[in-house]
Amino acid sequence: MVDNTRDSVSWLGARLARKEDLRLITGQGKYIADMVLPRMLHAIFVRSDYAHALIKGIDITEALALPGVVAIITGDEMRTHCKSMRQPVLTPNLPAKYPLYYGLAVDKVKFHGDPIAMIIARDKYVAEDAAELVVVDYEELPPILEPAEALKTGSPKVHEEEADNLMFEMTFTGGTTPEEQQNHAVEVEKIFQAAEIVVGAEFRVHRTGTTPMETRGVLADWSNSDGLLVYNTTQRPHIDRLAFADVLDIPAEKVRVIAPRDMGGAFGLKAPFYREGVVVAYAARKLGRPVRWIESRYESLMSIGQERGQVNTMEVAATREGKLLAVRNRGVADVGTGQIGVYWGFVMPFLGTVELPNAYTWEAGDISLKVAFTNKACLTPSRAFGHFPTRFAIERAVDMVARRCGLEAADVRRQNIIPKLPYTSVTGEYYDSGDFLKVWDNLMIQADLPAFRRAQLSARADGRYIGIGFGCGVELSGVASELMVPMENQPGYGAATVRLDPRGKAFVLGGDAPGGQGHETTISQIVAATFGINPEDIVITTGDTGVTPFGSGTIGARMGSYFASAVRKACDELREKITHVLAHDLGVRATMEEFAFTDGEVVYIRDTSKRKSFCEIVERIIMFPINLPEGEVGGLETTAFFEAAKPMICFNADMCTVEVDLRTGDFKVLKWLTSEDVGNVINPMIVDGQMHGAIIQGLSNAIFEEFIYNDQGQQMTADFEHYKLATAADVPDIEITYASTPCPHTPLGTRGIGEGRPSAVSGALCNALCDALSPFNIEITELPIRPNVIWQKLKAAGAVT
Amino acid sequence: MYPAVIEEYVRPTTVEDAVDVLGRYPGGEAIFLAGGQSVMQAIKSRMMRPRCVIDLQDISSLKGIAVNADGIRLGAMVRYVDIVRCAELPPAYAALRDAAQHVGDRQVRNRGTIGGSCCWNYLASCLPATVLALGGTMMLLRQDGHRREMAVDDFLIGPLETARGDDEILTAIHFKAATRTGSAYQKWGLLKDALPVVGVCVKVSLDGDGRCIAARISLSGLAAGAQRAPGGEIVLVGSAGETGIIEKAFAMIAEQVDAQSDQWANSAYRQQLIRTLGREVATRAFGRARGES
Amino acid sequence: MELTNEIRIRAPRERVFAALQDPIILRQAIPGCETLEAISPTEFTATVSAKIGPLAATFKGAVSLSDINPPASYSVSGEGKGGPAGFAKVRAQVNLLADGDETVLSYQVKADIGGKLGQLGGPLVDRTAQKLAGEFFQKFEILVGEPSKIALPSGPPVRRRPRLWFTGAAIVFALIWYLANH
Repeated sequence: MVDNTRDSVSWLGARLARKEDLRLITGQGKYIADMVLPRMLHAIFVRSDYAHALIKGIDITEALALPGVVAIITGDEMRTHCKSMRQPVLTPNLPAKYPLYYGLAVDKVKFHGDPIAMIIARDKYVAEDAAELVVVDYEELPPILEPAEALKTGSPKVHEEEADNLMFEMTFTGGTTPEEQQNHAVEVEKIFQAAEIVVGAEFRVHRTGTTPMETRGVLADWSNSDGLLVYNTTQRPHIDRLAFADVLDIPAEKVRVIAPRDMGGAFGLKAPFYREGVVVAYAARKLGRPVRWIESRYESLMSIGQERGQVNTMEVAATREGKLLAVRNRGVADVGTGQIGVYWGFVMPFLGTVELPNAYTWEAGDISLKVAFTNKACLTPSRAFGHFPTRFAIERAVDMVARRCGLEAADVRRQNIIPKLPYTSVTGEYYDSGDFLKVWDNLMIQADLPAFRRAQLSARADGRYIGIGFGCGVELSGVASELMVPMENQPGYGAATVRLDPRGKAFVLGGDAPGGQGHETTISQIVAATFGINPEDIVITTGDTGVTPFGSGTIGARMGSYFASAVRKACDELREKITHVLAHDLGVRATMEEFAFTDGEVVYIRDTSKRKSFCEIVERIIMFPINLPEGEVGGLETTAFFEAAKPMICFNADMCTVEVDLRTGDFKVLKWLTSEDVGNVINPMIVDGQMHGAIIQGLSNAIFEEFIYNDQGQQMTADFEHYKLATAADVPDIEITYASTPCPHTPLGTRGIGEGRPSAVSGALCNALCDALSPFNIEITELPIRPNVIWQKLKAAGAVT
Repeated sequence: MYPAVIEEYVRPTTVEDAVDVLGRYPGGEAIFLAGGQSVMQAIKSRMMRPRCVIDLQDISSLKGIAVNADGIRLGAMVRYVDIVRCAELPPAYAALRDAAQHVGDRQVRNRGTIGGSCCWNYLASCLPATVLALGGTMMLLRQDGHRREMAVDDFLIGPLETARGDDEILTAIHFKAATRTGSAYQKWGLLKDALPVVGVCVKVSLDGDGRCIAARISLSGLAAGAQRAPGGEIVLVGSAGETGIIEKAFAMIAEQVDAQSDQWANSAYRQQLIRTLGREVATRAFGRARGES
Repeated sequence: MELTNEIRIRAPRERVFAALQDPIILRQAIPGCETLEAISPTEFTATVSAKIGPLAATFKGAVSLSDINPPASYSVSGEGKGGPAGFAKVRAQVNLLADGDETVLSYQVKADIGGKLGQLGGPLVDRTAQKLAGEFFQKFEILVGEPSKIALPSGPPVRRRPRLWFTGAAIVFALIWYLANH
């Protein structure tokens, strides 16, 4: 709980300029591509041009003969000298097929871009020259591209050793045995039969995801005495370290992974453990020289960053008054080869299906998911992990119910939003705390729906078509071990080491590596507030497994929820000790609560003449630890762990208004308004930034970005001319408002925010478009949504000639 | 993606020195680097492998916009931003600003050049189509010193293809002075200011009664690249730019063009864009010809 | 990509059929062809270099003929590899109809372009195929029989809908070359 009377309030809730920014905007950032080690070599991957083919032979003679080429590694070598990528630390506890794979393709390539060899050369130019000289003899096989086809009996297989292309299948509601599930399905069917209103559609969401400004990079160095050192653009260095040790069979204490201090964005893309890193590390060990690989943008767009890609056949049963009764969903996800651990492509749709019920009360649900292998790049996590498609479906379905009932979609939502937390959804997801209706009502006050409806009528009379749409989303605030262990075979607790130094400065060490979200600043504010010192006096170190405590990584909004809480806990432990010693020194009997840490001093609040500067007391405990109270020893450093009792969430609601030009289907977002419950806020500017970024990504994913594979399995969107990202000119201004409830389970009442945020966007946007075009009965059940699509619908509806 | 071996990089200060280098690298093995906004991508992706790169940045005679009684002369190295900033650009050639103002983004506009764009002649580029509608004259200098000029209609052959020989450099583009003439350009693409799905350029000249005596219409973004639309031009001639006539002209053009379908739009949508953009562009061109702002 | 077309060649059907499988004629007719060898009566390999505008590449292709039904029809399938630039696979069905001293040649071609070419080529692909086919048929007709009485344009088609007889749906050989143009 936040205790504002004791903290230096000016730091908690302050719009402090980010500590990171000065170095970033003056070219002083240290990214992986800035890192150079003596005698470093450069690596490049040779990748398959075919979606599905047998490798009959790889001829590297000409490439190897090119001056400047040091070595070339192929799949056979990886298979012989390293373990497979299928290691327990990289494999979820969920029942799925986990087809074996190695650092490089062996015998077969399974997607356009599958890496078949790695070239190590004296510089990146020669490496690319050599890559062109590698001759691969492929025997092409027909690619398997459509999930529905892939799941049919008798379909050719993506992975020969597996029984079929069904990677994973699960029912998320109504029992654990097939019999229970069957009975449950029957019960739900009864609800549907009896319901006054049933709406449904097949909701299709395309392959889209995330493209951080910085691509991947790995710099590996090996010495026989110290073992393996890897600089890796990763969100999860501690997990990576175990994985490197396991796959390369190196004793764990001889592996150190460091995420560079600066990363140009991650968004989930840098959370998996990638094959490329293993091959680079292997090469460094083999050659006894540092090897660095910097991914090209082309490679990145070809082989990672792809997520979403689901079809959700959904039906909703409701009463005529708009009360939601039951939801039935059959989801099919296309995860490509499925061969990128930790997530293996399917954990995203898994979690997305868990989150399908969203913020609504349901009597029952009949929800299941099938995941198919195809000859495409494996899905990798993207912000709004797995639930971008299910959120789109449910938010559109709610609007369809409203339309059928002749009610305002906003009213249907209000009627069905969970009124009281904690709450457990029909898929068993636990929502710990929050006041959803408060968030919703805050949105509605600002939205002023009646005024908009008047404006809409008047606009129509003028031949203009404007519309309003709503969406909402329950998002994860960190991921509790309760969920992380089955889902990823990894823990969810947060951990932080806080060390004070004799000059009164603070050092924080955390194992989760940020991608640029401003963790240094936020954590500094927390520590500054706790000790009454200045954020400038605090140094945050993240992502170095050699010095930081174990952390699962920066994923699922763990910072504000778990890491920040662990930091606060650690600071409190030190405050306990400081006040214990100070009370002893001052000759008073007092508890921690009776001291204020403020403005660089520690002050006894009952007698403010009794005070000491923070520096002095800290120095005294570390450097001059004599005459201490009984039981105390000198030193001021501690590591604390935080695990919430139950999984935590945050909640947000969106409203947008749009105008559509019937002549071209062009649309413009007139206004985007949000209402957020983000718990207590440490730095509002950073939180605002998170919301802006998330909404813009949601819009860009929904409208502009699409990864496309043609009918030969060729990936056609490997540059930004074809995979289009929204620019600042393409997105609206966003008005963010807050209606927060402090989280009762974290020491500061904070919630982790921002990760799942993009997911409500597509629903809100499409709801607004359908509302604008409601005179023409236009429905949108597929993404991406674009002007030409809208125009085709208008033409088909006879609205335009 | 890194370039293949480039043997030589030169940065001459005169255009004569620039074409001289071509003598040492016959057959297009030396390439000119103007703003680099297209060529750099081609070189980095290794779709082009020049042995020599001739950087034109230091050649002042290729820069500059000169406006006089004859017309306007734009040096081949005139950048988009230079066109936007050119206060003396007459309404006859306002389409140049319309197009230049919305190419890519600020960084692209600070580097990309009109000469480079026309010589690259990508099918969706805005400037080639604009120069085509405006009826520019392309000035070329050959390695042996021979100079020639040709109409832009003859210069632009097809996507990535122009009549510029491997031993020639484009030095300037000239537009004749024109009275009672107005032009405009507009494009539509999924992203603002990016390469368009379709762009339309119109130039009209009027007589003393405000009737059109000459019209040139061009389209960008179609598979065959920048192209004229003569069927529509005829319809505009004799009109005073009435909406009905303009719509008829572009309906005809939409009917006649070979509009491709791709991931951004099918041919029906491209045709619709031609109709809607054409109406706005032609209306604006007529307005400018009449001296309206 | 799929191309279907029909063209008229001023030469008798038997001669056209034979010429279509004659490596000497093909090597001359194919723009940018550097080598063309018959490994067997039904299998050819070729190396082709070509340019379109500033872009150039060299392709190594292998093609085999099947379902040979002289002088009426045959099928072709093959693949051209352009190294790092990518590849193209082609399947074509060629039919010849005699019309007096002339031949009406019709073909259906399906081509799949892959690798970088396919990704960056885009709308240039179809157009280049047409252009190359046009050049091929120009030269082929000269080699095989009397030149056409219709004037041939001196350069590649300019911005108007190409006339039917000139429009390329490329025979597989032409497609291998068009790849070279990227």
